[in-house]
Amino acid sequence: MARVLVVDDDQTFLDVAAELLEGLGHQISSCNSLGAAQMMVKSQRFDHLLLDLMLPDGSGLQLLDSLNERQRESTRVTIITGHPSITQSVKSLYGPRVNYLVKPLTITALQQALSEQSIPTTPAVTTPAPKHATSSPQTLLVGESPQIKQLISTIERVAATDANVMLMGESGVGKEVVSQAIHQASRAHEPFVATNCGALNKDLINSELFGHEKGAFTGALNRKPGVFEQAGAGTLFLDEITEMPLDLQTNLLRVLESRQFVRVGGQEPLAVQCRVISATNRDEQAIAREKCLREDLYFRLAVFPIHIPPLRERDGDIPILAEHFLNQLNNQHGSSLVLGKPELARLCDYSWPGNVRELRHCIHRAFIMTDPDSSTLQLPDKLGSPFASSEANDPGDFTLKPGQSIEQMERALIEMTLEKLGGDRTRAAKMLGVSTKTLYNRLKAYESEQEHTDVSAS
Amino acid sequence: MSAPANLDQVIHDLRNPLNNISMYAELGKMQAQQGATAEKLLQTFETIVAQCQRCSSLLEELKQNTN
Repeated sequence: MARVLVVDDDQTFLDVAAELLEGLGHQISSCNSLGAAQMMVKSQRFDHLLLDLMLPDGSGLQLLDSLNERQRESTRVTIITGHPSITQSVKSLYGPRVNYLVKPLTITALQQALSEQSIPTTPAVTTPAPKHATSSPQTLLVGESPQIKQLISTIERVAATDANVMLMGESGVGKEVVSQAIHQASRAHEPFVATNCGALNKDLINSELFGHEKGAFTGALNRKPGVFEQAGAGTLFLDEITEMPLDLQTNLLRVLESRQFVRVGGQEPLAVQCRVISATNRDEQAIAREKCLREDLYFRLAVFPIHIPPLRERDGDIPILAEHFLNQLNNQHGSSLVLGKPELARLCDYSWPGNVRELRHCIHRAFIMTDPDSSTLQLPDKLGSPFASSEANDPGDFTLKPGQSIEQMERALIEMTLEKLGGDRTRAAKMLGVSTKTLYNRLKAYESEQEHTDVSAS
Repeated sequence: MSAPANLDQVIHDLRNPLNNISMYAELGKMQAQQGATAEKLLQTFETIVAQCQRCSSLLEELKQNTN
């Protein structure tokens, strides 16, 4: 909900704007002159100003001058104008805080102007380059590591195209956030529709994807648009694509190839206009090995594959992310907890098998558990989720069996520890209780052993 | 037909009722979705008609000024 002040000299507009915006859950005040508006901003705080440019006693822009420093920073401003040309000339004067809507307004345009991520928007008709209608991936992706910078530049590159994107990365790395970043950077004014292919009912999957006509099957009481239709010219995010049954993947392939689909029980072919972003927690090798995605479908979906690195490979971002999540919680709850150095060090030392999601939950849990009188965030004694630790205690191919040699067990333990720590040998040695030198010697021995077996095998 | 001096003004004035038509149509959509009463919907549609008439009379004025 936002507190919105609408200033316009047309009473009919003020009435309908108030009713519409209240319907959208905002709190509205309105007035019909510059003088009245100047009085109101002195006595009340507003999150957003919707201003007509031409008022009987002056210009809506003059109101911006009467805002104080603090208001200037916290209040967003949308200028409503009848002249598309004005947006260009005024934009350079008032910077990114101000965006523009050109009459006649639609509810979508209003919603977008009032939404959190609103960034200066100008109608496509007046701006040949749609750059300002979109937001940069930096606003959604947090981090300063080379990996995240690389990811941001990849997103910016793919956003400029219409290519279908496949996101690959472990659970919790933020695949949906990346898909939203691509959407925001390319088709922000169009719908974003996300669906989880693993959660779709097998019998209803076609109807979920492509919609159905009234009476298409028992229970189809009304015509229902599928996700392809809902996404329109926006972005369709298909999460866990590799969980979709193989026989049903054929239908998806046909739709992507023909760029057309038909509602279940319908006749009329509809055009696919959206970009499809799919996601999986497997990498290409695993997809090929497990045969969970048809090869032809893979090539349609992964025109542009993006690998999102696990958190342990960009552990430089852990402090930044931790601060970011803590700040969000502080803002929500009006608190001002900080992260102490020892806590930060503990966060950095942990391997985060559940990635960014696990870190966010950990901070949230700690935030709830922290003593209300404390000024620093208190972390639990044990980091990580119960699932993560049980996984670590019970890795697939590491079970004690009589008949195995101590050397075999030692090697398995070393390899497992290294894998968990993302190959960090210093930390692995510490965890295993041996010196780094010992660990290096062991690894060297395994390598030469491997070479030996390779040679004898060939 | 020579453009009258106040053409820009007329265009500006026309945008206001046009905008109101768009906004009230959006309001009508929202009311219909939320199951508003017939009376509320009628009010909305009446405003749309009135705003159309305002457009029409502005165009008529423009025509008279041009002739």
